[in-house]
Amino acid sequence: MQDFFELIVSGFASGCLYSLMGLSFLLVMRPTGVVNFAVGQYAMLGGFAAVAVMTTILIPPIALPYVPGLLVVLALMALLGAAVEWIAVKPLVDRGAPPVASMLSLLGVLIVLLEVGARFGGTEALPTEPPFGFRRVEFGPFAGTPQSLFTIAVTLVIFAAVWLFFERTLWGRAFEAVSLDRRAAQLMGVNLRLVTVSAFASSAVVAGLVGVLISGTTGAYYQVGMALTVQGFTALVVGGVGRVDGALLGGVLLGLLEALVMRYLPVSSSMTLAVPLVVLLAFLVLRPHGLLANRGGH
Amino acid sequence: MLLVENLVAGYGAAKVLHEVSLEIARGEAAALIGPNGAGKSTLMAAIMGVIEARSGRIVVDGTNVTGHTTHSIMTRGLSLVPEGRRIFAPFTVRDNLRMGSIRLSAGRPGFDERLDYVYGLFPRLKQRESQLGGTLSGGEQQMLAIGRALMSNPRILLLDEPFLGLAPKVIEEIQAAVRILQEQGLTLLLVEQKLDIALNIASRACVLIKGSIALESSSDNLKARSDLDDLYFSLAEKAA
Amino acid sequence: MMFSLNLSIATSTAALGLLAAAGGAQSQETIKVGVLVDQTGKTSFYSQPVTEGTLMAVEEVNAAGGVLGRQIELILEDDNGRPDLSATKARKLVDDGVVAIISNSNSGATRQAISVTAESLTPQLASANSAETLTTLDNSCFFQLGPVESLQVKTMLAFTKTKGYGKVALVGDNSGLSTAAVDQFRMGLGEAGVPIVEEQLIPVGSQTAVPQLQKVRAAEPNAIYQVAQIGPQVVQFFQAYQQLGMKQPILGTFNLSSSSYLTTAKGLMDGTVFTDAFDPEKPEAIAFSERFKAKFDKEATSLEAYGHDSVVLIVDAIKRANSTERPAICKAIAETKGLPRVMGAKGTGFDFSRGDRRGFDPEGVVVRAIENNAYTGAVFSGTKN
Repeated sequence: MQDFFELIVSGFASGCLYSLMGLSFLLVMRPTGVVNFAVGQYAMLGGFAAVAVMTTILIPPIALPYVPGLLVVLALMALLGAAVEWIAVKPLVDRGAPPVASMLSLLGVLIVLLEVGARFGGTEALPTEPPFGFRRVEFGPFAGTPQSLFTIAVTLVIFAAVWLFFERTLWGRAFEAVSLDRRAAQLMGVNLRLVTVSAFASSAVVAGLVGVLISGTTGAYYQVGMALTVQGFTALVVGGVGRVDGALLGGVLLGLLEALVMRYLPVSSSMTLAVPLVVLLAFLVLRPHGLLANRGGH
Repeated sequence: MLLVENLVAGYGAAKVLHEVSLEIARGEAAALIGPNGAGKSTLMAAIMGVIEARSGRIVVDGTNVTGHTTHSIMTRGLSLVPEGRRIFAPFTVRDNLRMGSIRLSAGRPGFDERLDYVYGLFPRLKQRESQLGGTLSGGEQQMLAIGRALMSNPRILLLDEPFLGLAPKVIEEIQAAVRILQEQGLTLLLVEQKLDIALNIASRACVLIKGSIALESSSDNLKARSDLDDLYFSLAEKAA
Repeated sequence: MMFSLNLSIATSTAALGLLAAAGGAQSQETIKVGVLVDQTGKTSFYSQPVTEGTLMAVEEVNAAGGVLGRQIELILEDDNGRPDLSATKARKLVDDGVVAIISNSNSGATRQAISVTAESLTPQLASANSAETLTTLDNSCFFQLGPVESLQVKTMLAFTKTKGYGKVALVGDNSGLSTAAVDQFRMGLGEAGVPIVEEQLIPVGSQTAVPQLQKVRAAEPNAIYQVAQIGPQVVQFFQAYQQLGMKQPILGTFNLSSSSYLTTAKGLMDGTVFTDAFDPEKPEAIAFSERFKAKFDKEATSLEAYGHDSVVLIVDAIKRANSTERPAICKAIAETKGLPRVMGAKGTGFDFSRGDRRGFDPEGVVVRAIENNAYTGAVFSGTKN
């Protein structure tokens, strides 16, 4: 049983990262219908940006403390997200191209970002100083590390904030309105440009945050993006595409499932990354709307 | 108040509107009639800045708004009740109305005032305030669509076939509300297929045929014409 | 950062060469030595520091008057770490008239350049490559200066024997590098008769190694061989180990000598031992580290030392050959015996006289430990006990 309670904590913490990646997908997908597979590269760049801003490794003169450093990184990510929209999406939308055209051009962005990351950060894993350590902490039957609890706490705060924004604020409802009926929302006077740009910017911020969290645990690494992309997308599909609470549920379930499968089923441990793919396929076939049904609209 | 001059617009390669010109005076209620596919909804979309004008211009109160975004055109006092209502089905009635107020500059007090106004106009919406939009009847949904468009406190209201598919009793009810708006001095442009309803409300009608204004006439004049299909046919012949 | 530093060394080296030429002290032309380096590719992270060591060593030799009264001129070619480019770049160096080529790129790139040097009888020195089969290729002028993979396995097994672990676990990641190491350790442990009670791979890209290490913990090994090679997975191993409150000794590989782990896995590795080809307490290593620190104001790692030693070997060979003809240098290298170098255990040096073109002393690998988040000196060396 000791193993089980340890797995709950570490699976939950990994799952939180998947949830945030799912949220990053969702933020763009809901208002624009575009699935942006480059979000994993945002996470990679966010990690390297954290290394650059918080440590002397990449840019020696700059070494900010965690919180200001985090804010700088997230601001940079917002700019990056907006720039990506402006360069790779807007020109297509202006010419009336369908969302799939944007998805393809964003795949190009993925390649470019990967290359930029490898050039800027190199191919070695680079660390930031995690705000909390990795010594075992026990609470009741559970055991984890301060860092994993930090990841969980940050994730829950982000999801609460995003949920409140979408459900309780007028502009949050406007985002929802755009995802339900773009034309009708436009006729309400919703500024579609603003919605689209903020969607891309906030998506990059959330994925960048994942990168920052990972840079403190396993280091910023140029290949971190692809696995996160698969895990995040799976979280989204499992939870129910289009729902904020679904992304959280899906990610956490996936993290727990991954951990439990690895521990208790007789499969090779090198197959960990196949778990999300199998889950993804199963859901696409058996329950394409995810665990939480979409609340209509499309 | 609203002036459309030589407007050309369309979708993709298709040109739908050919040099359409139209003028509506302050406080006037005008109708835009014409057969299916004539470009009535396209004209509405172009006026609202939803689709781009390829040439020509749109002027609101002396300000050229051609090429402006929809939300900036709305701040000039235009609002459209779109064809097919397009309410946000998973939103409550109140949230639908909140969406309509997004361009309202007066903030929260302004919102409360507009909400009271809309509820006054359509008391049924107040009863259904926390019900989801998708659960309303067709007539109630149309009321919601009109109410939502009124939330931005427009000075010109465009209505795109607001009576389509509604029961006669509901049509009556909504007509009465539109008449109230008219009496309060709101400028109206009504897109309508049915001549009798259009002429009941509007004092003047423009007939759009194949993307061009084929005829402009006072309602009284048009009332004399009995057969609308005949009218459309002869106008189309003339245009060709 | 490495790149700019490298450039500055390159520039200063060039400047030094110019000064020497202008001074007229050496009227003879320079001895050209080629360097194949990955400056911009995926293996640049180790190729660059190795090359820094090469540049530093040449600067030192030139400052001391050069060799045979002539200055050494390094010609750097970036092969991007790509096997398909390295042969072309090697050809270019040969055409430039280099007397030897120092291969500081990855093993794959080195392998492709071997055909070019074989054909032109150009001595080629692989500073740090650890691939097993480079010297099986037909090129009598190719020399491998670093220890091959299997040597670290032998050394670690010899060390293990002194500890008498009854049963062990083996943990790697699923990268090619690591699975190769897993295979070698499995084979070595099998031959030594040490039972492996659990074998786990941490997949590259996973966020935690807790499930894998729980299985290891459940199997109750006496020690754990940690042969993961990809940074994040190595760090996850140590995080999970700490999180699960495990106490078994950890035995690691060369990979752990990368000092970045002292930051990424800060404080998590204490007590771990690992194989290394560098003994910081060797007199040559102490001297090298001091010179390096004085020059660059940062700590040298084994990578720079590898690059440095290539120059030591080639300068010695040119001196003994008393010639800059390629075949003569090649012959002199093959006869090298007991030449001191920075890398390797105390008392070990270059030795090609056994007829093996792998010049790293078979007893030269050491075992070091990590204490208080810092590397210790050698706690064990060689393959005998």
